[in-house]
Amino acid sequence: MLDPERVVAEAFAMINVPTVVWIDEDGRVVRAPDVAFASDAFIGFHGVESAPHTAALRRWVTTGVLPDDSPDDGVHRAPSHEEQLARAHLAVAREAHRRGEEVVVRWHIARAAALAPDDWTIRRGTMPWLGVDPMTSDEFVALFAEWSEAGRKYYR
Amino acid sequence: MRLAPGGEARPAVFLDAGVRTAGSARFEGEGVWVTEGELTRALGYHLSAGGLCLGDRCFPIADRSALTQGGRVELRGVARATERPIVIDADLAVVSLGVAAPERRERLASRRAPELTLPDLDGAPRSLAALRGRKVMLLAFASW
Repeated sequence: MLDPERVVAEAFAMINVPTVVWIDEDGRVVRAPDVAFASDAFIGFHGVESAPHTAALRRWVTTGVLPDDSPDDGVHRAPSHEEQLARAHLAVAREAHRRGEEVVVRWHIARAAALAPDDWTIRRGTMPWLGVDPMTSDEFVALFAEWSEAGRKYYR
Repeated sequence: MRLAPGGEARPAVFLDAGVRTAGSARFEGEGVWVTEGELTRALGYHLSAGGLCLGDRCFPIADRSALTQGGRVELRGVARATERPIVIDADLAVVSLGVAAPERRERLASRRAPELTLPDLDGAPRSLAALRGRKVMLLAFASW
């Protein structure tokens, strides 16, 4: 499924990818959105092992047993007013991007990033709107360094 | 009390949790005024005796005269009454209303998977609802 308007991130309050959500047969979220990888190909970069999630997923599918690492209220992170305001700025930035108003795009993205500094869907996800390579550019390297030097987990 | 809105309405874009609607509004200083009809058309709210309502849910209005004048409604007041974040870009003529943080948390905590329909690689619509009755692992990835 393609999601150019990023409705999945909005609906599930995702702040990075890859993020997985488990949904049962009744349409109930049984494991809150969280990072998971299918392999350890980039483990040196992100430090998240794939095996625990893969094993838990297999157990759930085959036996119905859920892991106990999902929060009781289904929410790993409660979005704050500031984060919601950031998303409102992001929507304006997207509109400005459609119109080719680069200065306006840059201003609203800066506001959104200041309000939601942990949200990579804003900070990394909007780099292409500014003509910045989100994979190898100096801007991305600087963002990753800022994160790492602060001792924070990359994906949460 | 706010000054009565003056001047001409001009084309504007309303972003309701990112959903785009074109319409018109008067941008007056820090505020944005729209007709009651435009408020309903663009954002779904209507005024009633119970306050500012969206469907069956009504939000009380502390100072009605500050929110409405001459058949027009001020959108910062709407955001305050509903606890929604608002961003107004008068130069761009864009008003963006986000989802209130408590409402978003409530939606997440309900554990109900939201209704989503997105196109697949061939453009065919695919919905989460169509997968009911099966276990689903939704994986979000990005090329950024």
